[in-house]
Amino acid sequence: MKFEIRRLAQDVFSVLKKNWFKLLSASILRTLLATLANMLVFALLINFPFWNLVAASLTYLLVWSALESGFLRMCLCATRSQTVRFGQLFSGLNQTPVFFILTLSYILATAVGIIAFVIPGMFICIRFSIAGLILIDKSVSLTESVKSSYQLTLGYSRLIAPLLLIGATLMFSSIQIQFIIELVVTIALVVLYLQINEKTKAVPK
Amino acid sequence: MKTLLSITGMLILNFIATFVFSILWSVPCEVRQIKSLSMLPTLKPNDLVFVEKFSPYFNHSFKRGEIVLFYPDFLNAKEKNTWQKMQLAIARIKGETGELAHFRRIAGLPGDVVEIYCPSSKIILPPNIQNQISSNPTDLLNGGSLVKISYRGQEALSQEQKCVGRYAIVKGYLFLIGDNTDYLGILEETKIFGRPQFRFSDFNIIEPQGTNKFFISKEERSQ
Repeated sequence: MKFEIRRLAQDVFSVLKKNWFKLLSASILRTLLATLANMLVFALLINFPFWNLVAASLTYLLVWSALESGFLRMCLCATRSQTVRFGQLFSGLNQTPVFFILTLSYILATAVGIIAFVIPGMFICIRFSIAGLILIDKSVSLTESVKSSYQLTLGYSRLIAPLLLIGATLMFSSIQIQFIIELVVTIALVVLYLQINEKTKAVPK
Repeated sequence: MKTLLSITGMLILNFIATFVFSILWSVPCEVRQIKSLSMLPTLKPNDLVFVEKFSPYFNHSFKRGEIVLFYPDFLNAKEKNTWQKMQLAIARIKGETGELAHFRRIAGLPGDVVEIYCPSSKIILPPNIQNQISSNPTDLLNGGSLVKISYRGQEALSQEQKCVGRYAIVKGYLFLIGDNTDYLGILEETKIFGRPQFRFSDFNIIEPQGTNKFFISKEERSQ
């Protein structure tokens, strides 16, 4: 395992240089649609205090998940130097339920782990960070993607941990450039995933 | 050159999106911290309250006994030009004007007559919207209720207290009172911009307390 930080940065930058507009616009559109759906549910359930907030948050996550799979597909294409089409953002709608369950479980498990003792949360966050990518790229089942993510990230924590940690810190501290940071972290994860995937042939088909 | 253009383009697109989202995210709700004692015991200092801001846009009808959030000087921007007004409107949506917003409970709705009772008559009465001291308060009722409130919201009405003011609430106005202190007054409905939904400390939903907060007899209500 000798992925250099500089090489990773160069790869991410070259991907962004070619496709920044499509990827950044897709990322913003995904968040915009999720936010609008969230606001709509919040407004419709205005007479149910607290539960309207819960329902709106779940709706946000549902719409976000529906579009995130398409967005990751765009990132995968961009990283593989394939043609990136804006329509790909909506290409993963059929995987919405599975991706929603995966995202929700990932967020809840990470949050519970961090609230419990911090380290378990970080462990979950790192080891299952590429489960979504495997789910989309390999078209495997939910459990297989989680297992593969756990296996593939073994030994790569030293590279993924700082990436996620720096990304999360920058996201919260520099909210003005959150979309760029989110995009950079996602592309970096995709680049890492493809590099790990090349080296390891343990991914189920 | 192309690299520089890419970075600049990304930053511009990001800043536009961030600006739009900062407004969007602050339209439906916001979190407010309580800083005064005026709504004790319902809202304590340092309580974090989740406030929804949609219902005032939808002309959601107000209920007696519910708590609302308002800026006392909201929309008083007559001396400002269009650009300044737009900036002020955006800042107000985002809650960044530096103005103090207040939580108060609705005691009187349009059509109601509110009677204020106090042991002494030396109190500062709210702005006079339609103050008519009449021997028969039902003369003033306009399809509403007769609401009797003590000067201090927490104190029960008693025989010793005298009626020091009688207000007929006209259309478009509300009579508001703090749960704890003597903060009371009449406010235009348009100045209200939010309703608290729950406290983050215990996730207790803040519901309207109805008429039990104020003294309204059955006979008086039926009149």
